[in-house]
Amino acid sequence: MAIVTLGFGYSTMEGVAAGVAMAPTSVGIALKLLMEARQLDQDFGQTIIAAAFLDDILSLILFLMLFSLGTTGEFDVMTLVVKPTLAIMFLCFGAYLGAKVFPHRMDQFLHWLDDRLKPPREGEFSQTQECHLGLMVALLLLYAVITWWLGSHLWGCFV
Amino acid sequence: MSFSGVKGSVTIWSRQTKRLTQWMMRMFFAGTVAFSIPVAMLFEAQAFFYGTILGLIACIGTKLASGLWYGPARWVIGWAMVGRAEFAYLIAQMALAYELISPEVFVIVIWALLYATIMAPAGFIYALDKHIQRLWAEEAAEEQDAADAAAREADFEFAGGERGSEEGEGVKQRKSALGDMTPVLAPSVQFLEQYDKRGQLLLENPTSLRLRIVFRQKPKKSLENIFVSPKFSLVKLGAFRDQNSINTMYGLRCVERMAYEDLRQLRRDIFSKTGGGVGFPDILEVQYLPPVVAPLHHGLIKLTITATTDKESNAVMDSAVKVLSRSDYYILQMNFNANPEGTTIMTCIAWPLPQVNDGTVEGMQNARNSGTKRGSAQGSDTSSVLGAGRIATPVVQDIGVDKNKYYMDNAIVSEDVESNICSSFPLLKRNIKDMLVNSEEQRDVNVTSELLIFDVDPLRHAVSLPIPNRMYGPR
Repeated sequence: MAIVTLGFGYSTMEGVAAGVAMAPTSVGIALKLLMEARQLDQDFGQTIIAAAFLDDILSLILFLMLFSLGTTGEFDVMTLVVKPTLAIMFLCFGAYLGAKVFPHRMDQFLHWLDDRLKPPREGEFSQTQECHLGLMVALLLLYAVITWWLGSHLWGCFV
Repeated sequence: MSFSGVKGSVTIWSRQTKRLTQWMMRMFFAGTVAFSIPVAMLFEAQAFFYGTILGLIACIGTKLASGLWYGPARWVIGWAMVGRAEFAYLIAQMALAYELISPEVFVIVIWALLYATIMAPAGFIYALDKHIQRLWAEEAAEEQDAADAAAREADFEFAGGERGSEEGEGVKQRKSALGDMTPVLAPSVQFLEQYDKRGQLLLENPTSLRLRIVFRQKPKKSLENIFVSPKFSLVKLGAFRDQNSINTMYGLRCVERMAYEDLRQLRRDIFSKTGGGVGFPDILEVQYLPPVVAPLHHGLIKLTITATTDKESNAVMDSAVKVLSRSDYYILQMNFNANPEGTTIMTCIAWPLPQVNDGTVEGMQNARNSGTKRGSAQGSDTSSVLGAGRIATPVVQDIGVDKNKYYMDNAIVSEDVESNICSSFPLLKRNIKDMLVNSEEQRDVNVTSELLIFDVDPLRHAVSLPIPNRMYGPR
């Protein structure tokens, strides 16, 4: 921001926007290389992944706040404080569900389904797997809609 | 993230959405970011100059600095955080669309992001390689220290507590506790014969040492040509490949009995030589495999395991190695074919380790019973592989160069013998399947087996099965 504003002589808003645009981190290449080198389970591997995800989410929150400020020019408490706070709470709640509840409950549910649905033919997807995929897509859409109300559907994609 | 802990999610998602996602992303970013870049402005000198400054300082420098507090892995962390991809471009484009930034600033940001996108992979690979090499060097140094300490202690014990030039703290304490005491009972000659002067256990059959060496890519030079010694030679037993690496199995053939520490030294040599980049810059790891005795044998089984995995395909191989080792099987060779969608096909040649089978009816009965109970046929004798009462005469083939001659004549391996073999190993197959299914990584596993018979010392004549050229087969 300082370089764009002070060094290049553009406005503060442009400097902040440029800074926000450069904030997100892509973890794709790092993830692939860490997996190849089998270092993903190391402390630094987990640090990279966690930091990259956090980076993206915070960048998005920051951008939406910036967007709100830049377009209306007013400090709207609901947009700048309440909704981002609710969004962060929702992200934490989603992370808790993903870490503590879903692995066990979904496993139970899928096994329950597996016992009741037809076994797959060789090389084909089973009906349980199709249900599994459907649940993932449904949850993705649900989270995207919820976070859209809070500011951006993209937050839901991270949950 | 919600389904990251649910088994099978990664496989199912990637298999079903891979192609669709690829094309959707291409179209999405072409329609948003790509066509919104003012190409004419992009190549203006000022935009390029400002973009370079912004890229090197704000985009790369600040991210590198973010990892400085992290200790030895700081540069790995820093370079990993430098990476930028579609998301950053998308935010820049959204800022442009909502007129938060002018086209001039947008172009500068694009240049800065391009610098990060291009430089991040190279910097990260370099930092990661350096870090891994340092970890290996530390591990090798720790092993060396531990080995030195053990050698000093063994030296001290061997000499009755009176010898030992370099004494560590532990040795001094023990010596102090022993005082001038001398052993009441001298060790027997037979006992001493098992050890060298350093107290190292001498291995009667050093071929029991096997190494699995994992390469990132196919090595240009064979390890056998590098580790030439009058005491031992490395013999390549086989190789298989998975998605990311080539796993090579070596056996160690020794001319004379060797101390265990010498064998450990070999492993350290491999670390140091490969770490130094002498033809092997891409080595990933060197592992010991479970020790086995390699006898002359003529009864082998061939297992084909097909598994759908959720995680790394290596898990299939590791699980199979574990089960076969527990079941007294020596894995001679594996071929491995995995596709990125999670299906792994592993072909494994293994032979049962020799057990006491005196040839009597009772002995063969015991061998058969124990084989059934433990899921393995005991004995290298074909008769015990086949089960008591079914003695097949093995055909001894000169393996020469024609590897097809390994297979027994079709007339002898008739269908009923094959079916008998397959029925001899139901528990073994079930064990493998159970373990793979229960290892939380596989959802679908199928195991088949067939009999191969030949007479060959695998450490003298490496057995080879064709490795599939195509790693990623279409579904």
